[in-house]
Amino acid sequence: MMERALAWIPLLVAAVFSPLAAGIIRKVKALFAGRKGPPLLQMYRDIAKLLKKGVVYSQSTTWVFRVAPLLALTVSLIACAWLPFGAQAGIFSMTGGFILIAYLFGLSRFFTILASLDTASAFEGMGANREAFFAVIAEPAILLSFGAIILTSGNSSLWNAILYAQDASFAEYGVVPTLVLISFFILALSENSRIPVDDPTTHLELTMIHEVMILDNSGPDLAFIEYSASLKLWFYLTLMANIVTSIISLTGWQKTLGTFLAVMILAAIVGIVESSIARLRMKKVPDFIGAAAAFAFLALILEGVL
Amino acid sequence: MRKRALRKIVGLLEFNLLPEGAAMAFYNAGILILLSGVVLVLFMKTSEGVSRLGRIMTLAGDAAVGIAAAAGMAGRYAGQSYVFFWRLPLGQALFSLRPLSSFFLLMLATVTALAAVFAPSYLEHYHYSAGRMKYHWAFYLVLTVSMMLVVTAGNSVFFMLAWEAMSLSSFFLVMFEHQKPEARKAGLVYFVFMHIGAVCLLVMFAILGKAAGSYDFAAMRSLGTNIAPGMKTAVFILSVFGFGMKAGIFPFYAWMPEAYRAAPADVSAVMSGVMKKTALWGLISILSLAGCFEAWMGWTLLVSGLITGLLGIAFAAVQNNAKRLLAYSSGENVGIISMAAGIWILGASWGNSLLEALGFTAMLVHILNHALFKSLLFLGAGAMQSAVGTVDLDKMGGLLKKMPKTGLAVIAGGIAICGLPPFNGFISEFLMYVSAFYAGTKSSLGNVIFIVAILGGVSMIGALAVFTFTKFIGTSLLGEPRTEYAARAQEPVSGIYIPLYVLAGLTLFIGLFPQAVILQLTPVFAEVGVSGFNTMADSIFPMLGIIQKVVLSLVSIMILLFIVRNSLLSKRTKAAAETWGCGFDRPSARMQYTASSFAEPLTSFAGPLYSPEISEGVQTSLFPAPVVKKITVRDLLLDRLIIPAYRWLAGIFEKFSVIQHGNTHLYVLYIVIALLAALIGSFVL
Repeated sequence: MMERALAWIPLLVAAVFSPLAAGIIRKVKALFAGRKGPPLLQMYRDIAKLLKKGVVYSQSTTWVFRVAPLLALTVSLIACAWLPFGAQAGIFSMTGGFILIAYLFGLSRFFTILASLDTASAFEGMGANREAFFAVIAEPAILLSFGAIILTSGNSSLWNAILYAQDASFAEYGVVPTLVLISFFILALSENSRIPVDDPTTHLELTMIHEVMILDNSGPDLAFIEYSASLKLWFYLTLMANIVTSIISLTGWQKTLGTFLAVMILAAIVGIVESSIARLRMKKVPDFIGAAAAFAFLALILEGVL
Repeated sequence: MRKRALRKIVGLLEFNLLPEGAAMAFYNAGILILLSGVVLVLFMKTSEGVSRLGRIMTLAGDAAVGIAAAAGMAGRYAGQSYVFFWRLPLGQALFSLRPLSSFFLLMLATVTALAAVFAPSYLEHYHYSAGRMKYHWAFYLVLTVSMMLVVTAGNSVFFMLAWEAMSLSSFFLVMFEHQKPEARKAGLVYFVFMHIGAVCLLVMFAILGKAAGSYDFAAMRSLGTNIAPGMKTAVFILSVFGFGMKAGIFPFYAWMPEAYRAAPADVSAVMSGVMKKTALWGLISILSLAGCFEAWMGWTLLVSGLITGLLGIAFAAVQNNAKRLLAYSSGENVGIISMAAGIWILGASWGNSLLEALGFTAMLVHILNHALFKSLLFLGAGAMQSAVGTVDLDKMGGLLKKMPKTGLAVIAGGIAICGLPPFNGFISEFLMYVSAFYAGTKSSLGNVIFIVAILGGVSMIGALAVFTFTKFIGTSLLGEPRTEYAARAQEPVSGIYIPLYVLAGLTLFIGLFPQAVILQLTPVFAEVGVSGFNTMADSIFPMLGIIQKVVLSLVSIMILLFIVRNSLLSKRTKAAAETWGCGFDRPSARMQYTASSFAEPLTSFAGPLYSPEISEGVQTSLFPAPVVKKITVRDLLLDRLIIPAYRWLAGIFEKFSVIQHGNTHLYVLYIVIALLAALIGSFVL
């Protein structure tokens, strides 16, 4: 009973703290730019404000446009419910769980792309196109990275790989996870529309990917999308934090606390990366995401050798 | 415990109470109904009459055969063969309702029946005479019968006869619009490919028949492990060539895009959905005949499947013609099936029964899945074609508002074909991914390649499928109409969209209750001799159960969020406005992303693969004037390899035409020389 109740912790932590992680990134970026920046809790206020507003739907749109925000938020919630947090497993765990999660994100992507094509806007079509195209490279990188990390413990689930890591030495559990970590960091940037792939704060629609796809969303729909984006960011940060705390062999409550701290530090690192490099040209983005696939591939080969 | 309960529920749905004779009677009756339909449609006067009769005969025949197949699925007649009353040159016209045959038969009957329901209203938009309708329906019925005979054949000569009937009737169906040059080109290419394939099959059966001493499959089956290694290699290669030609495994898929585009949508649905699958039936049967498997066979299928899948979907992504797009995607799915077959054979050759069972199940389930969602999408494309008058995606747009019922079914098909949950495509791909984790010990390079091919390959195919089908749905159904024809489109009659819903319902059912379908496959495992069913069921059923729960929570959270949104908005403004044009205040439908512009990043990224021909208008005057830019992507094999190679060969043979001049006395001289040469030759040698 207790165990089942505890399994809700990862989801609850994600639901409560995910906008904070987004806030940390913004704050770090502002500090680097010499500005005071928005308060850490600005994201919560933004979501609350949007929930209080009315909504405007484009006349061109159909039910597809109205379903997409609901689906995006639902999928992000399910993903956060599955992901372990430190020493705490998620609500469900199975071999191939990551495949289900990756494909649910795929379903959400499918509908987000359709919703932006539904508006008949040239700009949103452009964003949708980029999203669909970059996924062609990101998707194999995601599955290969998950595959590499999970295979460290043999035929099992992500949770088992994390459990395995507790008893393993760095030689056994160190090299492959470090490579996978690099791969996940690249994916965290590209999948969450961060610099150098996409710039969430840019003002020119022509250079956007994710923001331009949701130009026509408003009110609660936009709140759902923003919240779901912060949950997805949390998902990637937690994923990396789990691997970091596993590599340095923390256990028990220390591990859970360490994971929380690691998420915050990783958010700050994302902020620093965003402040220190420029956006890539669109043509260069596939190479950047391709690097993630290359690292995952390397990790898998090392697994075969080691 | 739960498995047994499930088995029991599923058992209620079976017709396995049918006595043996009755099942065969149903089968024979079905074949006779379909054959008499071929004759009867020729006597009808009006095109409506032809269509109506064709539909009734197909439905009646399919229903009877379907009942027999449902009984055969239970595996009770696996050992029996039945003989038609006439004799063939090399044996008897044997056929049997084995479980594997019944599995294909059931699929055939379902898809041909639904396409026949769809066809009459759809064919109306061609405005052809009764004669052309007779042509269509007669060959449609022949195709249906011949496919049924192919998958139930028990003798290789009988099989080849049915196979030829199938190839020829589908050839004539591809040439439905034979007054058009492109239809004739499509037919010709198809014809040539099919016959090269048939030659490979003839040689293969000759080899097997000689070794077994009989041309019956039963005798070949009893050959078992006695086949000499060299012969096994030859049989494997010939069957991959011969059946791969029909199934469209790389590099033999080149006939598909042309043929499926030229054929009417109902025919494309049947050809892509089930006719191609008869080749897979053949491949599975021959592979299981060959007995012990070798790893290289598995690798061959896995790697060629991966190449087929990636090339198929990469070319699908850049098509602007809905049917051509679906044809290429058909290649992609055969690639996935072939990869699953590779997993099966690798599992068998490594002695890993779990892997063997996973690969075999994934293969069969994907064969079924593809039959359902691909025919759904072809029929959907046909429904849009009948409403707009074209299959050019760039001339559609906004159709979901004009034809919401058809549109919903097409979107369901799109989700299914991308392998996304909760539809059926996800199940087969999931089984393949899971197999990557059961490949065995992790410390070999072969294993790493296996894992990368599956995790990386299938996911890349999946992401390209999302690219392709968001483009397909986005440009045809969503946004604003791009032409006045699209703007005037109307929901088609119920005869057109009801088959779509049946297919969409079946895809969703398999996605939600995969266990029920997998359990039905038990007799097929026993027949083909695949081990490990129970091990597999024990390991994957709990996972499938979790997937069901996740899907259930997905739906309930979405409903909850829907209610939250509605209650938040209940007292607030819900305004409708124009799409935000980023400051531009005169939007037009022509500003939308077209199918070509959607594909552009891909064509420029993988330039060498596509080598697109770009014709760009040049701006000559000082003031802006209309400029046309056109991107054409030619097929890699047909247009850039096979046809140039053929031209080159033809050029060489052209030189021999000097000896063909029409002078009879010189021809007589040739004969004399030839005879003399033969005479001298016989003395010398």
